[in-house]
Amino acid sequence: MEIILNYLDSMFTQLPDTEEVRKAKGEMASMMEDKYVELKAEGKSENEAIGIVISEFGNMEELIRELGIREKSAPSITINEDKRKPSMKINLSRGKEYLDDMRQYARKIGIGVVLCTCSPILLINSGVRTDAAAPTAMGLIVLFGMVAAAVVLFIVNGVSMSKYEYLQQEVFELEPGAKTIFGKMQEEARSTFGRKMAIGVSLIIIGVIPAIVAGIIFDESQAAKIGAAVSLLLLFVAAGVYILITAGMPYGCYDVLLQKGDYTVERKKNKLIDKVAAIYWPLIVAIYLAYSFLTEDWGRSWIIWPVAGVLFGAIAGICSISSKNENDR
Amino acid sequence: MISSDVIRGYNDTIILFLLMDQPSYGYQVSKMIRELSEEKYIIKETTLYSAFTRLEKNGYVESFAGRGESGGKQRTYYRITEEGRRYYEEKCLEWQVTKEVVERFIRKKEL
Repeated sequence: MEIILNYLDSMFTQLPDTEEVRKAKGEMASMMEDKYVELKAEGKSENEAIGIVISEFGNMEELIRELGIREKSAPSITINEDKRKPSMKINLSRGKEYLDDMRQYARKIGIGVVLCTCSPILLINSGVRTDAAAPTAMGLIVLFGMVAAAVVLFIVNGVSMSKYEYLQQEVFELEPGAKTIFGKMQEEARSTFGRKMAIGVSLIIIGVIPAIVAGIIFDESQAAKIGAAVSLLLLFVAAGVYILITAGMPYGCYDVLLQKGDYTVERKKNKLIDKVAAIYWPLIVAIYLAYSFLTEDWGRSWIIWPVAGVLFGAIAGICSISSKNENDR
Repeated sequence: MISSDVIRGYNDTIILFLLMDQPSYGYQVSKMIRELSEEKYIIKETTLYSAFTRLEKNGYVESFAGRGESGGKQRTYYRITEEGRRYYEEKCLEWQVTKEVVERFIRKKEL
């Protein structure tokens, strides 16, 4: 019943607080409670009963029309309490599009990174075998070819994904239904994500083993075997990184959509810090360089860096307090 | 599938019918609509409340506070007025005419 009342509250927030509206809300609550009680008495489960009551609620528009709510006194329904500007609404299908696109993008980026990682393999193996020009040249060609292909992948896909940048930068409002669904999806994806991250990291660590073993067993004369071990390392690392990328990027989307973690509304609103940082750090660099060149005291002038770092932490704190006051006003 | 356009015009009529014999309250009316229509029409809460408000504004029903037989929860009951009965008769007539006219344009399917 709590959930039903919360739902009713959320439906009524947009309406002005008049006698008539309060009466309407009370009546609706009474009717919904009666329905809920009877559904439970019929043997329906808590979730079923709540689901049925909410799905048979209807839409607020006809209620608003009937109560004759004027729009001049209260702000219209689409603008939210943020007096600055109406925020964007993201619905379920847009969110799903974003997730699907991100999954594909992650795969492509993963492939690009694999290409880059594996590009020197041929060169390593051919180079260590002989010093003849042809195999080395072949290795170089393959290396540049693979890197070029990877770069093309990064650029082309990066451009097409840039249309989603606003999700990370701007404040938006996620449809309530979509919020619950994405929250659930994130919950379910959590364990798979954890497992994949573990596998990816393990692969990278394992990949180092052949190289170490080869370094111990073989000496420089058996360069070919060492080359093979290094190639194995690269392959393992490539596989591990691919898994990390394809698991990590899509999972990160949930935080973006739900505006959690690194993408909370407070962070987005806190643009002041970015502006301060843009001035602060170049200034510190200038001071460091000027002082060091003038006094030649490179041995001690580096201290400016930890000092500047901690000081920036303090400045960031001040910025977020003043931003909070701004927002609350 | 029931036509929402058509049924919208007769929500008031339906509710008045159910109040003809005795007063009733929100959920009971909603339940009776569902049962009498054999689940073919399930009226939304907002539609129902809007209709009650409209009927009361027009003077076709009066609301009063009441309790169930065994002293149950306090609810808002609605009772039909004389005005309401007259309006109901009008709407019944209107429906007869409407139905008859529309029927002329409906092709009967061979059963």
